[in-house]
Amino acid sequence: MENNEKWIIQLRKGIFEVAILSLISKKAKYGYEITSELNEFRAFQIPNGTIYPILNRLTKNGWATSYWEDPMEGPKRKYYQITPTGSEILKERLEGYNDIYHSLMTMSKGDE
Amino acid sequence: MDKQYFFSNNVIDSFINDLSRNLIDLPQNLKEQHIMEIKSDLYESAVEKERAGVPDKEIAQVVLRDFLPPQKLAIEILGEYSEINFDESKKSLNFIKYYTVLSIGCLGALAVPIAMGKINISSNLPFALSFILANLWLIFGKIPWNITTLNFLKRIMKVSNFIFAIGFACFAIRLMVAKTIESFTFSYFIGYLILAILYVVFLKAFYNKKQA
Repeated sequence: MENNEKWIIQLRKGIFEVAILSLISKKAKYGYEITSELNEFRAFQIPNGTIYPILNRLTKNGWATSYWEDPMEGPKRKYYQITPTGSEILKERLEGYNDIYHSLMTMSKGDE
Repeated sequence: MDKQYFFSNNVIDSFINDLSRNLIDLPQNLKEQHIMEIKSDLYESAVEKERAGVPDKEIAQVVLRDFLPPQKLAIEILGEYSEINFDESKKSLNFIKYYTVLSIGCLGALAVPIAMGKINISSNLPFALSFILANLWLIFGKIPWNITTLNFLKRIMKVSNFIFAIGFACFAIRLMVAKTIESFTFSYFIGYLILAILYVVFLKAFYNKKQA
């Protein structure tokens, strides 16, 4: 059971990177906005605040860039935007996950 | 929703302080970055709750419901920085603490002969040696300096000013006891002050060098 949980944590860690890259691939978004959008999906429920280490990792890898913006109204926000390298990584990973998904489905249906 | 009013709320203030305390192992710049982003999230959430019609008095409590408790949030954040050697960081901080005791403590102890009006070499020698060794240890020891240890060194610099006060206090005690300025007391006092000045100047130069 414990191993299963660890596996899920590892899997989610990798998938969250792809999910966040997908969200910021269309336009720059700030942390709270990304968390809110992720929380719309049951598989991507994440408590507020815990997204920043992942965003930090994406920035450190050069897959995303960030900048602060101080709007006339509302709080100061840090926006995250995908980089060309990030776009390539996103494309590769989505293809990879797609391959894995189809292979698993084919295997599970093999004996039927 | 007024930003200052929201962050002055006790519950929010305590949440941020707790989180900051639990992130002590992170380098200062990373810690500040995370705190700033989480503060932005807290406020963003508060504005959203206000729009949703949550009464002002309840907003802070409702906002925090969507966040992990500070300890757990800190664990999540620290978990992403496994490449940072926290043990190493703790060791270097401990080293600085030992250094403080050995250097400032021993220098303070070396002021005692001023109050006594005489010097007992055998009892003062260990303090003098410890003081010298501690400073050699600081200069030549392979300490991984980071923001936390540098901040601690800065605090030592402030505390080190007390060694002047100890010297003057001992001199004043001797004056009250002997009711005259003895040549030994006076020359030892001057020597002590020169050593203290050199020590403070050394600490400042060392700090500036490491900070650069």
